[in-house]
Amino acid sequence: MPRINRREFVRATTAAGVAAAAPKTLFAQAPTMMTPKSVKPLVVAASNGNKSKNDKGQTCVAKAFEMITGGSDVLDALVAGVNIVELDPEDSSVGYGGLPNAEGVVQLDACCMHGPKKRAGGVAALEGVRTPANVAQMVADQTDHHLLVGKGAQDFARIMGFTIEADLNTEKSRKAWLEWKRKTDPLHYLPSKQRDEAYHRVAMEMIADGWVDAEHYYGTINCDGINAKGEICGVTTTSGLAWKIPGRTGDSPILGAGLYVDGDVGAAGSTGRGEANLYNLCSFLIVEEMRRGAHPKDAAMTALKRVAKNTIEKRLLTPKGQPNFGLNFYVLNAKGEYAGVTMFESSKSGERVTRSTFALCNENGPQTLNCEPLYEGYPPPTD
Amino acid sequence: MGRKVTRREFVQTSTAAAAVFGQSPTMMTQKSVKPCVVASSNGNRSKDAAGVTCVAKAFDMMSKGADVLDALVAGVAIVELDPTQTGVGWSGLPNADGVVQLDASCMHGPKKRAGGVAAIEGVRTPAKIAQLVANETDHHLLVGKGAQDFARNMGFTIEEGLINPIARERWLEWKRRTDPLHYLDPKKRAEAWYEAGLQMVREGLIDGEHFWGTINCDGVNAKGEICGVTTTSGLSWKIPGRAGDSPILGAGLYVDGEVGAAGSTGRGEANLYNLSSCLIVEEMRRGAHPKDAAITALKRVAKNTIEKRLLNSKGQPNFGLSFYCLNAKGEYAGVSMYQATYAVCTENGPQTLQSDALYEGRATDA
Repeated sequence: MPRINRREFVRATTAAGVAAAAPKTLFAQAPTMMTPKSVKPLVVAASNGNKSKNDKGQTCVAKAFEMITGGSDVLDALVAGVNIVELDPEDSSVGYGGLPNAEGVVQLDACCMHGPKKRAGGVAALEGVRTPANVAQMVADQTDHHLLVGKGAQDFARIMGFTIEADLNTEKSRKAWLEWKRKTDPLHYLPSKQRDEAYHRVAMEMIADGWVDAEHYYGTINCDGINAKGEICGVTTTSGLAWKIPGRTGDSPILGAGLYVDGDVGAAGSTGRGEANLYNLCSFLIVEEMRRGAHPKDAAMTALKRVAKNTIEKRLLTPKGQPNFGLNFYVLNAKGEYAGVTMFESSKSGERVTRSTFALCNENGPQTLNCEPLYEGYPPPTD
Repeated sequence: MGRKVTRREFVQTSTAAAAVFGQSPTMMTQKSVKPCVVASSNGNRSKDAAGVTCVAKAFDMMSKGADVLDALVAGVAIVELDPTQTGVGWSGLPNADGVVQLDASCMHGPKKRAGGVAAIEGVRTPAKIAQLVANETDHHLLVGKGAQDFARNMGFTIEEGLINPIARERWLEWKRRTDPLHYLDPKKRAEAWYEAGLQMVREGLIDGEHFWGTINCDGVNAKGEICGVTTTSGLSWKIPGRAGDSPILGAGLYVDGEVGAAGSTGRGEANLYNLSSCLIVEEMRRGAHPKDAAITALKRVAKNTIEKRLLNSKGQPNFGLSFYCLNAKGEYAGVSMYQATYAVCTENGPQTLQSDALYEGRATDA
């Protein structure tokens, strides 16, 4: 992780300022960063945060960074950023177009935290709304609660003015579900435990066959940002595990699991196997480690090691005794230091090996960078 | 605060209590721990047909060799099934629509398995379903209709419109008081709903403890195996679908098999925000006594409570919050924001004790 010292930073911003005839409109407002209390504004996200684009060709991290430097509330900016991914029908792991549950119903999870205001909200298993991150923000702003689930979350969204759609499947997600259903239906009458295992096995086959991107099987977007005043916020949104048991909730809507923000310390969020974060409260753990002075990268490594230590069941381990699943963390602290950290260096989808990456936007514009891995290679296919 | 029993006292008292709380000899081996069950105060109030309370039942089962989590879940089932209380299980107060929605979670220290259900309707004992989520699925959290379908698949009877007559009457009264406010904007309405609830507490129509009522129950056996469970009907008159801390690992309950267990009752939002149970276990991991670990969590909650509506005139949180913790050595504590009680069962039998409070006096100014 390149840590930029003040001199380099000044140089980089100057260079960006000069060279930035074109990007200037996008990445303006650097002068506010030079006051004594100032921080280098920054947005960090899962790699899809620099992939999906809006009609202006902007990615999530670029959009959020532009809004932050333009003076928007940090959380408003992040939510607007992840909306780009939520609304992208090609991203089959987040929002509209996300892969549905075992019954073919798209159920979305999201949460958000506002550092300075100390408000937070989440929704779980929300059906019929394309942008669950906006509903999570409404839970934070409009209720005395932090978590609404299922039908209640949907009723709340309706009251707040969201359109409830009967079906959030796209042609692509519906066809993928039909294929999964076709492959698993003979297993319909198995005892539930064996059936779950079979569901998982079929999903892995479909990844190997290229039906589903491995990244999108557990896909999610987490996006965290800090502005020049040092205000920190974060948001996480997902359609959850593909073909999940209806009602299954991952880490994304749960404060401390898929996202945690402390306005004085930093932010951390995650994508990958949600159960690992629900059990280990990784995002919370990372923020606590940073509170005690750890760099974002080291804090996230501590969390990955905790996950590895608490993963003791054979079905979740490789022959080497390492966790057999992917898990990524996206972290920044109040000084504007950041990290993208991952369990495995890469993942394998069919014959294609993909390096684990994360998205970042600072004064140098949106970038996709390699995550720091705990383990080399990729997790072997489970069987 | 958990009174620390010296070895001599323990040997003495265990002889006396041997008839009721047998099997203590297993505790004398080198690796042994003093078994202990700690819970919120309702853990020593509700009784089963045999007159046994939650903590006594769990302790008895543990000392007879039952799995610690099985023992705790059987213990809290006594409270879940007690129709005279309105804070836990099927007889708890319903949500704003008059529907009872229950939350629960559990963690098994040695097996490192955990499960939770949120906003489940039509069942009486959500803690058992949380345990099945831990044992039978690859997941940790099922919510709403999906959680109910899972319970049905697991053989539970789903009872349509399940509600206790006392709870239904109280709900009608609340509805009568709030109905004129039906068309207010949602934010003001939520505040009015909450205020009507608090007014009913002040008038004695609802027990304050049951407005947020929950039971958390944690245990350690002689082998040092630690488990915990939390179950509740959630905040009275809640927005349908509102989930508190009880079903969320790290919020209403956290267990690390090598460190200890912590759980909570009181304002769930404070624990959802601060992950208090996880924080307490992390503090104990770094060597803090259960009491000090819980005080750290209460101070964190106080620090993060900055909105005026949640503060009293002294600038302290205006809500109650209690923690129940034990560590792998068998040390335990009941700690609360303001004066409260908790339940414990050791070889001395079930007791209700005063918890250690962070602040003197009462939560609210009134």
